[in-house]
Order: sequence, then C-alpha cells, then structure tokens
Amino acid sequence: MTCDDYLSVLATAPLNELGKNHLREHAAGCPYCERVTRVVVEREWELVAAFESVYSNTPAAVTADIARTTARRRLVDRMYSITLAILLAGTAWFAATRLVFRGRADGPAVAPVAEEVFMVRCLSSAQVVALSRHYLGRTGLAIYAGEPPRAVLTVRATPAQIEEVRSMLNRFDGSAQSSCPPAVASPLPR
Amino acid sequence: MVAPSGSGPFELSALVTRSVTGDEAAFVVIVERFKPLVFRWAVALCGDADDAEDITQEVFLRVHRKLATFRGDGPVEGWLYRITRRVLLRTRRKSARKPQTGNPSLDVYTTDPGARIDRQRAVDLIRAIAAELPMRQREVFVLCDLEGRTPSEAALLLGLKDVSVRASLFKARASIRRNMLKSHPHYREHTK
Repeated sequence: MTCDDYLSVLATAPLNELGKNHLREHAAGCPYCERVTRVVVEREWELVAAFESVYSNTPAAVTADIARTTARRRLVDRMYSITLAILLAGTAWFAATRLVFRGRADGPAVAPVAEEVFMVRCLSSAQVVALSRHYLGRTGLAIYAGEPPRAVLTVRATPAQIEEVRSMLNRFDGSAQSSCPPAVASPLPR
Repeated sequence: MVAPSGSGPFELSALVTRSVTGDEAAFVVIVERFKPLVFRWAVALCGDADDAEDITQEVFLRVHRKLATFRGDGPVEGWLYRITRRVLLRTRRKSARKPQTGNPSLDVYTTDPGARIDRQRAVDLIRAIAAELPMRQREVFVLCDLEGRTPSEAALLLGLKDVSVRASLFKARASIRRNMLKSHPHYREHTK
C-alpha cells in the first residue's frame, strides 16, 4: 500500500476502520502517514468529546414548565384569534347583507306602465312635446301623430303620469281656458 | 454515544399517555430524558449555544402540543429530530430577516466561569463543522460520526435513502479531514 492509497482511505473512512490490519501495518511503517493519522484521530475524538460535553444550562424542569405554560398561552391566543376572526366574519357578513337588502328596499319601485291615447284638437306637436316633457320626465313616452284638430297623442307612462297628461290636455287643449280658438257656436235652428 | 432512549418503548408510551392526560411530572421526565440529545443536535446544526437553547425550548413546546398525535410507530428520536430540524430552519429564516445584535456567547445561567469556558470551547469546535459543511452533510456527520449511529439508522431518522446518507457522510468526512490537515505541514507538503 502506498501513502497515496492510505491517504485516500483516510480521507473518508470511519475511525474504527483505521485499525484494520493492512492500514495499521502501513501507518506503523510510515512515519508520515502515522503522524497524519494521529492528527485526524486526535482531532476527531476531540470533536466527539466536545459534542458529548455540550450541555444546556437550563434545567429540564424549567424547560418543561416554560413549554407547558407557553403552549397553553399559545393555545388561548389561537382560540382567541379564531373566535375574533369568526366574529369579524359574522359582523362583515351581517353588515353586507343589511346593506344589500336595504339597497334593494330603497331602490326605485318599478311602477306598472300603462298606455292611453288622447285626441288633440288644437295643440301642435311641438307644444304637446314641450308640455308633456315636464310631466313624463325620462321614463314616460309620448307619440304625436296626425294634424290638429284630428291629431292623436299616445302616451305610455305610469298611471300617475298619464293622469298628469290628461289634466294638462284638459287645461290647454279642451277647456274654456285652453289656448285653442273658441269653437264657433252654430246658430240654433229657429 | 447514542443518547439514551429510555428503558423501553413501553415506558415511554406510558409516559406519553400520562403526559397527555395532564400528568406534569411525566412531561418533565420526557424533557429530562431527551433534552440533552435535542440540545446537542441544536448546537451541532446551528453552531450557537444560545440559539440552541431557544431551539430546544421551542422543540419541547411543540412536543408538549403534539404529544397526543405521537403514534409511537417509529423511534421517538426520529420524531424529535424532525421537530428540531423544522424549528431550526424556521429560526434560521427568521434570523435571516432581522439584523444580528448582541454577543451570542453571553451565558445567562452559568455562574461557573470555568464551565463556561469549557462549554464555549466545545461549542466553538462544533461550530467549525456547522460553518464548513452544508446542512445535509452536517446532519449526517453529527448523527453517524459524533453520535455513533449507523448510516441506516441515520437514514431512518432523516427520511433518506441509505446510499444518500453514505454519500453525504463520505463528503462530510473528506471535507472535515481536509480542513483538519490543512495546518499539518507534512500533509501540506505531500499534497503539493
């Protein structure tokens, strides 16, 4: 066995294998390898001794006590956190549902839409549109067709709006105060 | 060199049962039995005695919490080792995020200066391994060469294949011995 062979074994072999015959024989006959082996063995045993001599300064009873109390405290903390999270989630859910339902309750009521046709005797389409816009707003619909005195106004809106349009037409188109020219009374037959 | 694992699994399981049912004395016995082992692992893996104290404390805290889930179908050392390793990695991640402050070698509990020096010297020696070896090689070296376990036992503890443990052990030994011999004049001369 050469020194190189011996050193390559020494590089990775466990200490107890260094006592095997062929290795021991080489080391015994080679002062260099013997010194190197002694260095490795001494330092490695020193390491083992150091590892075995390391000890904790805290008594086991203290460690056990701290472990117990801290474990309990952490358990309480965890339960507290879980409870808090559940409560928060519940509150958030309650608030969200309240907001949603209130939003729905407060939302614009969808009123039924009706349609009615009026005869227009004297108001022009521009006049009717100008007047009805005020009552119908954006939701109602008015369609004017024909020419006075046989014009037709079709209104599609809520009953309340239709009522408003009706009273508007009575006032401006059909009554004595209307802006229409007064009808010429035909002479009564004598 | 292997740490004592109790007088038998029956006694250990009895201790676990007693501890789970609230017997505080049983838990103290468990800590007394396994604390030296866990502390040595912690020192060897992190290379600092104070950090090792904290890691050991955290390990037994987890042991207390998880004792009820310990099935006892494997060696208790394996279970403890996995907890220790997990705690160590977590501690490392945490300490990597915050800047290091203070003197790590300050010893709060020891009043005997001589003992402190001996312990510090031992820790320094072990720290050298921690500094020069990657984690896996360090673990294998500690379990096999410092604790005297066989590679198969170490493989069981680490959850690795036998062959992986042997390979890591060879690399660890080679690295450690190379460093040991670095200062040796004859060896240096020979390897030139």
